[in-house]
Amino acid sequence: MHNDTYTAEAEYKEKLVIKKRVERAARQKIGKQGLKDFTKVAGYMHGLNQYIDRGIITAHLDFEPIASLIAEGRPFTIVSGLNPSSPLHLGHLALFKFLKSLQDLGAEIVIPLTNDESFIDGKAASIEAAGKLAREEIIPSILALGFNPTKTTFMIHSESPELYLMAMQFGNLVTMNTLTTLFGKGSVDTAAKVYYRGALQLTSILMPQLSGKKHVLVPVGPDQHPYLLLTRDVANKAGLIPPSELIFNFMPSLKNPLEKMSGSKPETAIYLTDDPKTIQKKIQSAYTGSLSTLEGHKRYGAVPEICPVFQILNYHCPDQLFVDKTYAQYKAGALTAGDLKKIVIDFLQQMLK
Amino acid sequence: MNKQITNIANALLSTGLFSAEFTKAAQVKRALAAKLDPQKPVRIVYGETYDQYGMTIDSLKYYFILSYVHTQLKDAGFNVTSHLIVGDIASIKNKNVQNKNALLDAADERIAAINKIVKVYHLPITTVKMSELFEETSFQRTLETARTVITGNALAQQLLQKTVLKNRVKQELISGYEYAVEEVALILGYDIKVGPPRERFYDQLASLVETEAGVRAPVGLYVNPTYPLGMNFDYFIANPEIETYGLTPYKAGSNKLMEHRIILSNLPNTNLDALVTASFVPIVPGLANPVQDLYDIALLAKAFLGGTPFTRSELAEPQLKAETLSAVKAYIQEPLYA
Repeated sequence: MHNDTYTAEAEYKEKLVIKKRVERAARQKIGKQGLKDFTKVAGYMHGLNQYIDRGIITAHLDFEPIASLIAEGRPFTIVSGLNPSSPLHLGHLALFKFLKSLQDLGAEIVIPLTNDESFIDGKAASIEAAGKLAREEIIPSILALGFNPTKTTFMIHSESPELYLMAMQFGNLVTMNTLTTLFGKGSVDTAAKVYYRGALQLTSILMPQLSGKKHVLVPVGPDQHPYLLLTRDVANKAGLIPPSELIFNFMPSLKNPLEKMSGSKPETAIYLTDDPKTIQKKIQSAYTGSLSTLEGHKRYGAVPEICPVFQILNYHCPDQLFVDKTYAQYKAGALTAGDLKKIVIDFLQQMLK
Repeated sequence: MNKQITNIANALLSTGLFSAEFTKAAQVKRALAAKLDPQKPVRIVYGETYDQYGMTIDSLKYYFILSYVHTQLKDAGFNVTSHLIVGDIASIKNKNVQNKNALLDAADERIAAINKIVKVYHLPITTVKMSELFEETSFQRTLETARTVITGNALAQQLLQKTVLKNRVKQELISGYEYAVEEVALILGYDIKVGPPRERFYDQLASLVETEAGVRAPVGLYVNPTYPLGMNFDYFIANPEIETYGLTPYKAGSNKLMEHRIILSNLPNTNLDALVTASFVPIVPGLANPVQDLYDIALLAKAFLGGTPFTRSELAEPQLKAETLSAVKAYIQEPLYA
């Protein structure tokens, strides 16, 4: 009995250490390279947006002009790209639901589908295959979320010749030195990668300003901040408005809270096309923030912050009271991991019907 | 005695009127315990300058809080004197000030307005003009001591830069921070100072002078910042310095936001409804809330009018806005301008 308790305490402490690491990873860039803490901004915007309220956005760069446009009820533009190398999963869905919620606040959404990137990074067999996936599966899935088609623009990279043309102009403002410093030599080790990272990607973000200078917001994951820095640098040189940035923390892998859900690793993700049996199987075998013994769980409670199963509710369940209640019960040990998994399986099976 | 001081400090800090960020409970209790002695009189001070736009309703808050601190100490058995220093000379030091003579002359008008407020609300404070203090030899000695210590101290030079809004640093550098040195000299010799958060740098400078020259420096009690009315949430996101420190409470022209302030003498003609209705009220506590601030002022006014204890009430929108409008009319506008 004494050993089980000790083991439970040690296990709980380990979970808390993981929690600190998750929090550190989400906030590590705050204060560096211009990134500012989003906590106070979220406080001022509380009630306007579910994702902002739930702490999923942790940092920003130059969000102030966008906040003013939202406050004044004026339109603003968002560019949020997607690498169409695999079917959409819950992590993508969370981001697109966030974008839809911003469209409801006045945003015009531009979604570059980077099938060229899919190919050069070895994630797609060909540019055409990735383009086909984008056209036939991804775009319809995104539109099915209720985006206003008149305020949503999709841009499949390989089908946008104007993008490639403009990229030559903007790319001329970027040096190899800058690229290798920002991305590392391994990420720019082919001519195609140099062209993509040094010219194409930033051009797709700046494209909306070709019809007139405007404030553009780009939600990205923490590891994509260098892209924005480069884009802002080129925007300044080209006389355009540097884009604003929000750091959106992506959903954790079902297997490891320190990694993100990945379309190329099926065991880590719930795809939007997963059938009910697959959903059940994946959730049942997912990592949780709970302890391994019932006694330990009841004594110490769980750590919902590192629980990929709970995070599915945090990212997707619109009922704030339910999310808060589940969080409290799970954290207190009153709700077991098994019960939580049942709740989430039912929730997902309904949501993805 | 320490228990008594702790109780007084707890009573003051639990009102919610003081900035939690800048008025740290443990620090205040320690400092008060070190300075206050029931056998000796306690001297409290609040000082303000003014501009050509008139007395703000935010000044009223400071008069009330100065009086509140006075009353708490008096009720605990201390012999208390509270001074409100009207900075007539300091008010004309800003190079942007036009018509300096008129502004100097306005000091007497201001003192008359303050005396009316003191009478209506039964406030235990004495008003003093900065120019009168400057004529005293003892003050001139203190000023010289402050100037000598501050000029020769590297930390003081760093603190001086923090005493002004960023857009005023250049101007103050040229004057040798004369304004700041005089502010420090004015508060030396007092035990407690009530002021806005930005003034804590003056108090730190005063502490330096106390350490180096043995002249008594006050414990600072920093009041919640003053925010402009009629702004939406984006204003506070885009202006972090004002979000943290607030505007200069006693100057309606602070940051050229006169249209977003309430001038007391204009109160009967001010479209209070429009200003309050257009003001953003945060849901999350601890954020800039100018409507709550205005409500606090009105409730303080109510307490002093009726001689009743002050009880702060934090309300959510829309009740906060409705209660604020009716409280300002009932406890400030009618008693002063009916």
